[in-house]
Amino acid sequence: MTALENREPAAGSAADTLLRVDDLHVSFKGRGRARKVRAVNGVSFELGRSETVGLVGESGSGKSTVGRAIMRLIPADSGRVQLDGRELLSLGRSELRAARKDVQMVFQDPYSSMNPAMVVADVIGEPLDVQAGMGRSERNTRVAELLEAVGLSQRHIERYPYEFSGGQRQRIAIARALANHPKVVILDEAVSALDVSTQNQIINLLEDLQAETGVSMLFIAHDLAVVRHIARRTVVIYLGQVMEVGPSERIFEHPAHPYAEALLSAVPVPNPEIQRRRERVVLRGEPPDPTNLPLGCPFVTRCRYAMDVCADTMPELTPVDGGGLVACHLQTAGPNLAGRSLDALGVEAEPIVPPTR
Amino acid sequence: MADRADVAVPTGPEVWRRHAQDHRVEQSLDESSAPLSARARFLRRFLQQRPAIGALTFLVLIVLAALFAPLLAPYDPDQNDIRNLLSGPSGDHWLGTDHLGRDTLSRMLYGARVSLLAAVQAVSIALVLGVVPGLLAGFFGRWVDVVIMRATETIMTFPPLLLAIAIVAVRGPGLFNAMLAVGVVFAPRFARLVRGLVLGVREETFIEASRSIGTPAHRILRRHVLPNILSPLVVQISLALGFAMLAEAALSFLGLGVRPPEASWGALLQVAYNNINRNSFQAIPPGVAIMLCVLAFNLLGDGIRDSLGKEIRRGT
Repeated sequence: MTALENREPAAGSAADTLLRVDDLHVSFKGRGRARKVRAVNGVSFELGRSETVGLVGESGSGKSTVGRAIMRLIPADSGRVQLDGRELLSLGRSELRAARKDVQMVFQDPYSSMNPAMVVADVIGEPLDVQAGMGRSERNTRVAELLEAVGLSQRHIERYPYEFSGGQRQRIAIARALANHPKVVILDEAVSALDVSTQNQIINLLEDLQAETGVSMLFIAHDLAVVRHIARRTVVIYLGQVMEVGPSERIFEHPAHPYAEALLSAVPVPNPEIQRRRERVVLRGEPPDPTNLPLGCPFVTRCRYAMDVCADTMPELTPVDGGGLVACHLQTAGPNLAGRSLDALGVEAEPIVPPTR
Repeated sequence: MADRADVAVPTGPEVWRRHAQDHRVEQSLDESSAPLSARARFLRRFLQQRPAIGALTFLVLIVLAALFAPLLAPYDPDQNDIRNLLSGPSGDHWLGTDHLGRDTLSRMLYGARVSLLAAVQAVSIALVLGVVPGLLAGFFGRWVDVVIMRATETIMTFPPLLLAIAIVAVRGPGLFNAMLAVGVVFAPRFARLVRGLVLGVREETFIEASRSIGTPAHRILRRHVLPNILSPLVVQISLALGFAMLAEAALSFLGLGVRPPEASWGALLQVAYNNINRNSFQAIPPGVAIMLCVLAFNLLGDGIRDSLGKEIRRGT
């Protein structure tokens, strides 16, 4: 986690890119005459080999949708998703089936993500059956190996999912995801449903597994403390658009985007003294209706630094001191603010849209 | 972590084993009091359901009686005893005789074969015709759903008995045709039930998880969807067996089912009805048998339903 600040290329990309998501758009059609919801609106980021990238945002920000679109579980409107230089979004049926081996997913809910009628051997072994066409004994050997790898026992191979706790189930889900030696694992809120001590165990497990297998991870979460711990780089998205990308350390120490700042101030600090003393940025107002986004920055309705320009011009992603990119007019116009908020410099800006309530 | 990419990545069992030592979880699944498997749990609960056990015992006895009818029956079912026409119960004929002097007990035993087989036939046909369309309609939705559901509704608009009579009229009387008719009548019910159940299961994350690894649809249906809708389906099957038996009786009573001289409980009832003014007892054995069997199938269905607890779907 050290000595990476300035090795970061200007584009906020990874040194050895494995997965490249470029200008991804996903929308959902409403029923009847309802307008379509633009869930992902031009998201771009890169994931390096053996790297973990965090994808954060509040609920409804489209972070899970990004993951699902990469997996091709939902169709993307436009954009490119390249794995090892190979375009995934345009693959035909049979090519896609082969390519799915390389990208696996761990889902949030450890309860509904496992077929209650299947024993562990079948849950973990399903990718081996479907993608590798393994024989039964070979498969069960591999499943036993995977069970041990995630800290369970191979004696559990004939158990049903309901016999396991949430954390244990998530270990099973991880074993399943790793079964076929994927290149990328997308963890969609994989630890959100777990209690804190179990979260830690799972995070440590993931880190160790990554060190051993070299798998890349896209870690989707709303819990920033967890992301900071596991991800080398973080992508902050809001209403389907990238607000800030960069090294996790820099984003967590000096968030450049007001949204990132607000998200971070919502993370509780274990020390009650500090927790009481520190300044909190409370987000006011509601996120705008995703069927009818503002012309400019989507965060304009809630941003405490909002300026006139924010309402009608979407800021470009601009390099930030300390690495990464940010899409904010505070960072593009005027002198270099070094990633520090205007507030800290004593500049007050009137919110152009008064907070509701 | 940044330079791990160029380190040779160790794989294989030795890594996993080393790894296992670091991450061994507290074994909250203690081995001594191993939780019961789903099957064992079902069995234990089922054994506590007295009515269901009684029903199952009764049905097993009926099936055994039907299987061993040639050994158990005191007479040939078609043999006439001209001196004893329409007799009541006696030492020679425990359940009396019909208007042709045939032994009712023997005919009941042979009739059980026909009635049970007919019920199984009808329900099997209904399952084949109903479950697959229901699965497809529920899983694929959109136009597949529309087409299949409108087709089942079309069938359901016909009064069941009328539809059965129409089918028999077209294909000619006979037990198989009668049961085909009953199967067609039941198929839409299974289709609708299955469709509804599939709609519930379809949105589960494990279906999405399976799709994400590229599992073909037929495998998802077979491995993920079907096992998870099985319990309500089994209940419905046992109820349908009861109804099918009743339907067979009704059709045979109307002369659309088995053809004389073959016996079925429904046919026996019809003969007894025709002669009810001369000997009212003859209607009782087939009537009671039909009633008890239908009751037993229903109790069995209820018992299975109550034994398949929800905890199979969710952790306790």
